[in-house]
Amino acid sequence: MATVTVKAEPRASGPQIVQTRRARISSHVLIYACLILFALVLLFPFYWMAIVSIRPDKDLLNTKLNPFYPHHLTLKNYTHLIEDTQFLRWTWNTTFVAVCSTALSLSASICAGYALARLRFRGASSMGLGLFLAYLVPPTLLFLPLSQVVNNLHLGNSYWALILTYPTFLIPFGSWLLMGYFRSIPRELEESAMIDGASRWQAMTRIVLPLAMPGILSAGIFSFTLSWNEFLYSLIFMSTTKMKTLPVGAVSELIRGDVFFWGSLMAAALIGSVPVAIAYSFFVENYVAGLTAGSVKG
Amino acid sequence: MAEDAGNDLSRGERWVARRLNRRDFMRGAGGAAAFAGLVLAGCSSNNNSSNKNTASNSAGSATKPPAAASAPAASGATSAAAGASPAAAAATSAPVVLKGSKVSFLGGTYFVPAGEDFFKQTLSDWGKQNGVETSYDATNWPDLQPKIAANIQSGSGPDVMQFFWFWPALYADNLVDVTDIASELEQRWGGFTDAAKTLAFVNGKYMGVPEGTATNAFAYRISYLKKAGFDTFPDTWDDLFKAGKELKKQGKPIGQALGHSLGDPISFVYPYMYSNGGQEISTDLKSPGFNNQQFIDALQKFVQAWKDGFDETGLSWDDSSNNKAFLADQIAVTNNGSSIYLAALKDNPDLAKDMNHAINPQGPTGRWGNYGGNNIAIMKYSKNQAAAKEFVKYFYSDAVFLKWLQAQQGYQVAPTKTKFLDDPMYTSDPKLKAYLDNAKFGRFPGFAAPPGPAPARSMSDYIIVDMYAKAVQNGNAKQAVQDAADQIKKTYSL
Repeated sequence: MATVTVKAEPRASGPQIVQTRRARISSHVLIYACLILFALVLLFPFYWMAIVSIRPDKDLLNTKLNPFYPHHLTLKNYTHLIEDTQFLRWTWNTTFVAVCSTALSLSASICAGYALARLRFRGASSMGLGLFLAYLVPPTLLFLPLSQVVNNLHLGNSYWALILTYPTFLIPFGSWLLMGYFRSIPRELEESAMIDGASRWQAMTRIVLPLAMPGILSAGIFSFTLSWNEFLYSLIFMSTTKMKTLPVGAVSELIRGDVFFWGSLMAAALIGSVPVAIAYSFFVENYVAGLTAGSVKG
Repeated sequence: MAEDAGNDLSRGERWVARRLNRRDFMRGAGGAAAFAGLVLAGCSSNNNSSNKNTASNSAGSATKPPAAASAPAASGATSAAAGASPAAAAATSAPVVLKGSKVSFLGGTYFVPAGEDFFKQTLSDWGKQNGVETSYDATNWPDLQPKIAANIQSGSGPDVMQFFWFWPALYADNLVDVTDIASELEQRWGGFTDAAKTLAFVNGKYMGVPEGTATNAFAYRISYLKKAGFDTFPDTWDDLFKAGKELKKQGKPIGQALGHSLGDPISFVYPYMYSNGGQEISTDLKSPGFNNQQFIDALQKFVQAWKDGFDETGLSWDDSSNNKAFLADQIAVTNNGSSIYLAALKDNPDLAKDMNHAINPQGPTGRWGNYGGNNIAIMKYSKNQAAAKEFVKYFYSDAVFLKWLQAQQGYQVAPTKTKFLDDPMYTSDPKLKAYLDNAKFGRFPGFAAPPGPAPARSMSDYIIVDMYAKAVQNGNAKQAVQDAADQIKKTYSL
């Protein structure tokens, strides 16, 4: 008879436990130190914007004072921004344009991304490549022909000038991102739905889109951020102060020759970054999931 | 059969045959035809619209009071209503119907907001008095050029624009000839300065009406300079460098931007070059004008002075950096507009008291300042050229123009040889006199080339500014001059 001997796991001795604990603690310390350092680096610009926006001009120029914390507080920069400029109007313009152009681009990107990923038609891959190449064309080259289009359509100095031109860089990006995401969703799920009687449209809207929500959110947040921060088209196509968007309005009104109104500029930048930060914080988990989708084959 | 036929084909033909059947070809050709149709339609609509523009422009430029016009508002009456001088009223007495037209304006934001407010109000008031719908747009002036390019490309946009530097020559083909307005001003005001005229006068015509310029001068701290052994500001570049050496010992060096910005670096490097035997292009326009021993020696001297007496972080400064450094008591001398002084008067009177200004020092080949004149131009694509011209005439009436200058507290030097220059706005604060005086030595960048695309490109490529920066970084003035000369040859196609 064969005897089976089970070798007992050697129990960790006292010094070994201490050593393991020490290793665990030191790895934790290292991880947190890195994270704290990383967070500090990322948050420092926001901290700097905040303290500059609440310091009086005199303090900003006083090199004897420690620049990293405010010695005297003032809200003058904020009141100047809100009362003496059309900041609130610019914020509204930016919000409206960013939301509309994002919605428009996202709708088009979903359709384009789905078609390129799912429908079998000749030239699908080269069209996908074409979309990617379109994304690479810089706005500094596109603004001249686009200005002609905007003029021919009589859209100058209107919201539509931006809502219709922002998709020139949002749709290629969104379609490319979503195309990759749709490809990561098993085709069999749709096919099953279609065997059960769903149409192509129903399979797309009821099966694929809910599964692709992280990718759609990623594309949406990215589109919103790009629209929110866009400068060149807004500078070119908007011609009156009240129609300007936040990035252009702030630069136009708060930089005068060689004089920068630093306090108000920082206040504008800080308030201007809030909507984007909120958008990110709400959807951050889905957003990260969307970005990493398709990176590992299941 | 197809297989057999295929065997007779070359490899390339087989590929085409495999990929392209008749149906595909028809489909592709149909798509291409549709695309070409769209493109052609786009082109023809462009042509149509440009034709329409041309037609309406020519109609606009020859606007006479149509019979149907019921309420002609003669601009002469406008001027009189605004209290303009009789001369101005006479100049604007052409019977032009303005009611129902539109005039839009695009310019740079002002350092002195009161000047901008005055201009905006003037445009608005003039519009109301004449039944003209007006609009005003301004942006930071370095951002103006993409807007101008887009407007010209699309054939629409503001009717009147504020131009800087060489822009009248750069966009001459797209501007309305305003010789009638400018020539009348020349007569009324006793002429423009040479620099102002050169920038506006293109191929025998005025393509812009000179508005004057904001000038640069040396702002300095009286006490620090005294401590360095100079009771007055040095009159030569050599003495300035000597003063810099002493000032740096005190921890208050000279501050000078050598980065990529269009104000302060250019206002320093060109006058220094002009004073030391250099100019961008030789007088016969056949070769770079600074590739000579005299200027190479002067640049080498500057390289040494940079180490001894300048704040060496100036290589990365932009136009705002020296304002900040001076107001923060980090530097004792800098070349700048009057913005530092005006800010100090407002927020730091003690510093303003210890400040003064001086004209640029002189060198072996004279004393030079920088002249970046502004102009008011009317766009050729404008459908409201007649109304635009009337507004420009009104703005340049003596009373309005003087008030506009006064609103800027002397920051803008008039484009004239004498007219307006004795006004208290220039003389009431003796500390600002240097800004007026420096304009007399004004010469624009790119000299001796006439204003045009090449000097504009050279300036926007920062060829001369980079020559100084490279010399300072490498310590080798000769090599920096050689590199810049090569670039200038390419830029000017020499």
